[in-house]
Amino acid sequence: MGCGRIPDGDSLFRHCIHPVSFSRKTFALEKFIHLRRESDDSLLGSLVWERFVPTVRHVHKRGCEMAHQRNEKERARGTFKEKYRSVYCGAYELKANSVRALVSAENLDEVSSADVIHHIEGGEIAHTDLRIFLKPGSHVEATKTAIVASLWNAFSGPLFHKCVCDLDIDPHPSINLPRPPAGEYSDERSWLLRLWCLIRFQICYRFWRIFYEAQSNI
Amino acid sequence: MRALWTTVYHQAMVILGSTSESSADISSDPARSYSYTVHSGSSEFDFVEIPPIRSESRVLKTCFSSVPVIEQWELSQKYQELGEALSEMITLEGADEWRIEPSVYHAASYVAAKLMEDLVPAPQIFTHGPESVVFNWSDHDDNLYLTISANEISALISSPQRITRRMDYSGNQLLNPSHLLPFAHSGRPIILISRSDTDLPEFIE
Amino acid sequence: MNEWKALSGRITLFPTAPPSPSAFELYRRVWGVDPANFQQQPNALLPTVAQGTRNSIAAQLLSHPTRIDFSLSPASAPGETATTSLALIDDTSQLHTELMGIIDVIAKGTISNSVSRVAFGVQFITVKPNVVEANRTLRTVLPDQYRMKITDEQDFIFQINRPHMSSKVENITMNFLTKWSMERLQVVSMEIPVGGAPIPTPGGTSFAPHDVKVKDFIAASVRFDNNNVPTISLTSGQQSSLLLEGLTAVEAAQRKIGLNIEGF
Repeated sequence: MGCGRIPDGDSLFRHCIHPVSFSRKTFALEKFIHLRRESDDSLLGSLVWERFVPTVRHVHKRGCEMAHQRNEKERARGTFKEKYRSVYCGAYELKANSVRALVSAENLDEVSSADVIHHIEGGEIAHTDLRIFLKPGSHVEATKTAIVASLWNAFSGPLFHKCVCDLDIDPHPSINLPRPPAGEYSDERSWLLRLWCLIRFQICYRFWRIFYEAQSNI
Repeated sequence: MRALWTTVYHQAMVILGSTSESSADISSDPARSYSYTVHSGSSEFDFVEIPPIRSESRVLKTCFSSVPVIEQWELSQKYQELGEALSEMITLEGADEWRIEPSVYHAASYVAAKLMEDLVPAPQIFTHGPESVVFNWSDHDDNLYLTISANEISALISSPQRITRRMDYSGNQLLNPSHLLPFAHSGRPIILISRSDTDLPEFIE
Repeated sequence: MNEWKALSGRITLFPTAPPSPSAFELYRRVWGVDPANFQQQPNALLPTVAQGTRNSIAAQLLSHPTRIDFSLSPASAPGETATTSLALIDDTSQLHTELMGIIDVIAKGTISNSVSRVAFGVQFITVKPNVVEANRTLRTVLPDQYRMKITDEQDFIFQINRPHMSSKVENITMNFLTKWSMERLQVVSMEIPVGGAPIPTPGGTSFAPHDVKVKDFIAASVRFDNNNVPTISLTSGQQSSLLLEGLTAVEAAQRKIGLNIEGF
């Protein structure tokens, strides 16, 4: 289920969530972008769409929820370990057209199509697929690195954050997130536009919750 | 189990009990480049049970008269952290998306060990799936990436604007991964120290 | 009686492809028994180490991603403290036999078939009362063309490499290094509790060694290192041929400079 084509100029956010034991300078946490191979040989990653996380506060709220959900899932399995506890550190922003531009990126000939598609997943309205198709015969792992390298150049941020449940972690791993080449994030929307986005989100979200709960009860 | 330490460098402090006499050899030999500091413990004793003890001797194979190179020590520390990081990525429980395959772990360990021997600065690492690990060096906003899979290595340089160079290598070229780096530096010379002796490097001993 | 004794012998293999077997497994393959000690490493870049004793010789096997070292050194008797003498391998014939045994196992292909380089090394020393005596001894075993007028200079090191083509394996260049040096060896003796339990220290509970003694030894040393320039891959037969060639070269070289080590 989705909301049609995401406009080129819309922002998407990537959350940085990782095990607390990765909180070391050895790890380039900002570049951990999980691209899994799907049955149709596409590469699939996950982002959130600004339309459904209209402010930075919503971005962070979603990030903390995701980390919490992962930890709860491990607890339910009986495999939770404190050293591998998922911690949300912050987020990076990029524009939808930066993803679509991968197709014509220099030295990235393997990409035949790249897009961001709104796809509600696991009851999460803001979830968006980052889907990339490669040409046959491509060296997948090297291409993934090239994709990560290109996307890194397009990110802005970081938007640092510490979830309330992680305030005990000292030093918090968010301090290790570096500034990407595109610089810091800047919300260029006017206050009126932001207000409209917020109102739109609230309306969509309420309808979505009603629909989702109805579906769950069937 | 017997102690397994084999090589000790005499830069450490020797701590003796307050009732022991310090060895005259330690502090009085003028040939030493390093001085020893002897600390005495408190003169107050509690009644405690002393477990049985035995004597152990070990030979220190090397004594430095020259000043050791600190950068090499720092480098080996960074590579030790890298080794720990790789070990984490194979033993992760739960966060499956960051785990790597054992074959990738072994290949990455091999490449890292080779780079360490050639005194290449330690990289950062990340992954984008279980089938490879990426070594990343940053120079301001330029980045060099080595993607290490079980049987292949790929190199990539990126500037803030675009990907500037890419190269793929087969498994045989794992033999000397440091030799992949000169291409990445676009003509800037890389100095690799070539040794004909096969002594154990200090950071392995 | 020959004043020159062996301090260590080493055979090294440089694998071309990961992973290397653990030191525990390799020790069993070489010597047919479990090691007395085994040290596993959680860190990918640190070696696993297996140790044991072969008669009067301590055997250590170190397995690292990029090298496998078989090391032989003097074994100390349990409880022995070396405050009066430095432990050396007196029975050099035994050392020679052990090194040949390792080469035999390598020839059978039970270690690794994916090796780019092999090395054979051995170090002989003679303990002297002071630096002047050590330097004087070194002058007697330096070939005429290199003989330097050293007297009381400290930390003397002289190393040469005589690269040549292997006579056993085609297209392989061998390095043959000889290093003459004055070595300063320290023996540190300490008493530690059996089982590793901490010794309570006055005012604290930290572990502290008790009654540490340090003894210095000055020695004249000659070290040989015979290895091949790295190549793509060596079969087990080639590995053993090159190692035997190295052993033979060391035997000849030590005789030539007058060490006359028994068994070599």
